[in-house]
Amino acid sequence: MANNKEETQVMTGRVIVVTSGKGGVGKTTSTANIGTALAKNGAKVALIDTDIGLRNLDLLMGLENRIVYTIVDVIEERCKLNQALVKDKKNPNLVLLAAAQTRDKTALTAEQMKDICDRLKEDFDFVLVDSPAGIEQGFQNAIAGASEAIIVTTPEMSAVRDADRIIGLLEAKEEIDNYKLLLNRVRPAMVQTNDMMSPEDVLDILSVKLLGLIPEDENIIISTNKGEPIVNMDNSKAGIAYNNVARRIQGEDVPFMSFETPPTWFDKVKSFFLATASN
Amino acid sequence: MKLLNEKVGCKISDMVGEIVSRCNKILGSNNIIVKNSVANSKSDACNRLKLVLMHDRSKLDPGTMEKMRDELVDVISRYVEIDKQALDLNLENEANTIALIANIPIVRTK
Repeated sequence: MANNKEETQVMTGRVIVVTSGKGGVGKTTSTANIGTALAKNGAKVALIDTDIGLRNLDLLMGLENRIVYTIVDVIEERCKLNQALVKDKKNPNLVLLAAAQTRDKTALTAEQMKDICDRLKEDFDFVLVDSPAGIEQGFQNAIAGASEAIIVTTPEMSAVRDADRIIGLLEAKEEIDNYKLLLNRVRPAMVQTNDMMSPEDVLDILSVKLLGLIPEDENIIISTNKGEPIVNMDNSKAGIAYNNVARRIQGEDVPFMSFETPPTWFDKVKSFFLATASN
Repeated sequence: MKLLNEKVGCKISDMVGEIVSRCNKILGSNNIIVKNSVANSKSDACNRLKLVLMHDRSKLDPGTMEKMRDELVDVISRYVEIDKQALDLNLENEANTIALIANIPIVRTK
């Protein structure tokens, strides 16, 4: 797909917003990893951080020292759009448009955001927009240019409730014709003991289609520390899961990861002792 | 008990586990105890969420529900005598549509 890109034909890339309502559920981590995975699979990808004033996507990509211009500089015409696109360390098909750190959400309007997305989708297969938390101006800006959405949530009540609110808002927006759920930080052991909502529970409550399941993985912290998306690390469960998500976005039919792990002997002994203790 | 568990070596725990699972098979009732002793907080979460989402989606907060309930009582009381305490007004989710379900016990017709 990316190999015969020499001819200068106008592309119509897909603009996908990554959003959640609630903060801290993994929007930025998901944007970084899905974007990196798509680029590894040969697609041309632009990532946009719209969390103006609280930018972090540059950190997760390990690009914080290379940011010269931001999206606000583009809007206020201090630079050209191309100048503000920071190339990934490893993959030249992947670029980041950073948010301004010293400004706030009012530095950008929905129309300006849509304009930037429209310009980027002429040159990229995918434009991934990392939305800020909340449902105010920042969120409205983030969804302005998108035609698809990924709703990130975790199997916790507050995150699911906020996801429901976001779904309601996305449904009201005509331009968004496709949205799916990315269920993050699933703990299979807790799901098995009925102490965490299962993916089926969450999908049932939200009546939404599933894009992917990401298991809780300590490697995420390590990957953030290093500024290296987890899809670049070998054999991490979350990395594999994010890769599967990217492949699904590209149209591949990838089965969902099975979390059904048989209980270990230790679990059995523990439950035996717990049972005897409670008698 | 927990400390003891952690000290148990891998092989011993394997052996104990084997014994436990055999015991569990023989004593079918033991399984029930294990299941019952596990806190099932997931169903709490699901039930609470379903309820709160119905209110969120219908944009009917408990205060509005209360007001509606009072007004319903007023209107219906004009025609029939009802048991105001037993009047039950709830939101229910049926096949993706939210329904307002009222259960109004009639004491007698006027």
